[in-house]
Formats: sequence, structure tokens, C-alpha cells
Amino acid sequence: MAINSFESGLSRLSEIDVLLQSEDVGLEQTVSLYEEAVKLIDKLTDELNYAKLRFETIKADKKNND
Amino acid sequence: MNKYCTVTELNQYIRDLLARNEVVNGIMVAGEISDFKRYPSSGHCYFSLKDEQCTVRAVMFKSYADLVKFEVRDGISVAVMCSATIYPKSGSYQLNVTQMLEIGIGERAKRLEKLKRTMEAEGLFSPERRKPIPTMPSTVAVITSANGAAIRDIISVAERRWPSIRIILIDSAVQGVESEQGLLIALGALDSLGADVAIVGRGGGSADDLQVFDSESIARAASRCTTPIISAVGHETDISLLDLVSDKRAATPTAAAELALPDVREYVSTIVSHINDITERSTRVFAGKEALLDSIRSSVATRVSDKLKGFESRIGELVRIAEAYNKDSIIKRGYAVVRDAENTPITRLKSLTFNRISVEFHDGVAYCEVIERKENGNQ
Repeated sequence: MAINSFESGLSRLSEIDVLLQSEDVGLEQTVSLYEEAVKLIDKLTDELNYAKLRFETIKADKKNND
Repeated sequence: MNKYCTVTELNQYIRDLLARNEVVNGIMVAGEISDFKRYPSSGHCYFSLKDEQCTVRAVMFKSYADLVKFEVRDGISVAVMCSATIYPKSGSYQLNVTQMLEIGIGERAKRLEKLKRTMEAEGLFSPERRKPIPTMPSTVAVITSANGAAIRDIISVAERRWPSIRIILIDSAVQGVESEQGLLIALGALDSLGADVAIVGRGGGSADDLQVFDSESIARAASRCTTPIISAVGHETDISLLDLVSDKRAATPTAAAELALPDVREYVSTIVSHINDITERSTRVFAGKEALLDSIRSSVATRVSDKLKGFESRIGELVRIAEAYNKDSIIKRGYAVVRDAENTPITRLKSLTFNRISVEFHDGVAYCEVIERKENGNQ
């Protein structure tokens, strides 16, 4: 995982969240933004799960070594 | 006397001889006190009286000692009223003291005080000169006697607290005539050994035994070392010259080793506690990120759903408007469409001929003939 890629993803999601509240965003853009948000959420969920898995593995290794 | 006598008989004989001798009974003797000890249980005091060349042991029993009005301590000069006797059990000669007068600080103590003032003026005791003791040393040099208790105590502390430590022993006599030279050589070699810290000292002993640690040359040699030094001269009350120039003073070699070596168990427990803290914090970070993602996911879904509902409702509105203009809807409201024979809608009276016309209702068509036309008056 690139440094801060998770955080920049989160920040893009917050932007999308704000954009979706705007009157100026039309139907087509709403759908595109939604599509982008869903893809980004899936990607970030994968990254978070991977990080958690690594964390749990390291924790388990540490316990076994003690 | 028989051909031979027992040791007891001899000692008693000598004691009687001394007891009968007028010169050594009720005599005033002046000297410097050293190795002074008062036993709390009995209250009796034991010490040595000494001058430049000689020393003699002395005892002052509680009933006499209680009458002394000043603090008796090592290094002061006193005059004592006493009788010389021997202690039959050991055959050692001693003075039984009945009175004591203070006549000033002893010569040795005077010299030491003067030396301390000189060295202090040179800044050798200044706290700024003291080097920090490393918190996690890998090598400790110990300057002491290889046969003394100090090195055994230090090794025992090291085994308990920091087993991986490397100890370099620089063997030196720590009392007697060779001790000053030995300690000077050891201190001279210290910096070349690459030790992180050094312990210099010995276990407890009498003031005379510890005298070498008041040597000026040793104190100066120690102050020149770049390796941090912990002094460990086995005494609690007096401060030696070496203590004053050292980077840290410990009362005993055991205490010095405890100062020099961290306790591995404390380190392990600190590390474990750090790991636990980090694990707990990481778990909290993951939970926070998960919650954040969830909240954004649900917020985005709500926003999109609201947006789509908005679009839907606008479309519904448009449909309703379109509906209102739909022909069938108009007819249903009571209007009819009039067409000519070509089925062209007639929208003006003037276009209406007297031919056959059709009138379309929402539920069917009537074919009619025009009987009369009457224009609106205001047309």
C-alpha cells in the first residue's frame, strides 16, 4: 500500500460526499460519482482488510515466539 | 613458673605486669582517632589511636564513653587518659580509655581537607565535569582486586540484571603499599579498553584500609579518564577523594553495579508493555478507519438515493404537466374534437362548413350535420 493512499482515498470520498449534496450535480454526474465512490470504498475496504490481516499475522507470530 | 606455661598463663602474667606498672597506668596519650566504632547494643567504643608511625587499639567502655561531650569520629586528634593492658583472649595490647579530650583535627584529616579545597578550586569536583553514565552499556571495566569481594558482588549483580554484559577486570591491589601504584596503572589503561563505564573500588574495610582512595594522584588520574567512572569505596559515611572526582558515587560495589547495569527484567517488562500499547492503539486505529469507511459508505448511499429521488420527483412533475396537455385527458374533462370529412380537426367556426362532421368524445364518435352557425358577438 502506497504511503497515505488510504488516507487520500478517504479524503476523495469525503469530497464526493460533499459534491453529492450540491444542487449543481446532475443525474449523470451523480451516477458517475456514485460509481467512483463504490469502487473506492471497495478498494479501501480491501486495503484495510489486508492491513488488518498483516497486523493479526504479526501479532500471532509474536505470541508464538514469546 | 614451671618449665613451661600455658598461653593463658602468659597473657595473664603480662596483663598483671602491665597492671602493676605505674608508667602505663593513668597515662595521657595523644593521637588521631581511626576505625572508630560504637556498638549500639553495648554502648562500648572501639578505635585506634595513631600518629605518623604507630598505631594502638583502644577501648572505651560505655560508662566512660557516655561522659564524652563531643562527637568522636575518625580523623580528630584527641588526648586520652588510659591504662595499657592486654586482652588475654587474643593477647593483643590495647588501651583502656577512661577520659577523652578533643585537641583538634588530625594531621591526616587536615591534609585531606586542604587537598579537597585545592582540588575543588581547580574545578575537579564540579557537577558540570561529571559524564553521564550510559543507560545500556555493553562493556563494564572493573578496577579492583581479583581476589576481593567486590568483583564477586559485581558479577553476581550482572548475572541477575544484565547477563549479556562484558566485564573487564583490571586487577589491582586496593589496600597496602602497592595499591596506589596498581590503581594508577589501572586508571592509566582504562580509556584504551573501550569500556562504556568503569567501576573503581573495593568492599568495606577500616579507614586505614580505604586510605588509598584519598590519594591525590589517584583522584587526579581518575579525573583525567574519559570513560565514566562510578566510585565504589565500601563505606557509607565518609566521602573519599575518588568519590568526589568520580562521575557517580556508590556506597558499595553492589550498588555501583546496580547503577551501571540496567535490569533486564525491567526492560523486558517495559518492552512488553510498549508492544501491548502499540497493539491496542493499532486495533483502535483499524476500528476507527473501519467506522469511518462505513459512515462514508452509508452517507454516499443516502446522498445518491436522495438525489435519485429528487430526479424522480422532477420527472413525475413533468409527466403530470405533459399529462395535462394530452388530448385524451382534455376530452375526458368534457371537451370534444370536431373534424371535417377529411378528418381534419376544425378549430375555428369559420372553417366549419355545412357538410358532415365528426365529433369525437372520449368514449366514441358521433357523426353530425351542421344546422346553424353563430359566431360569438365579440369575435
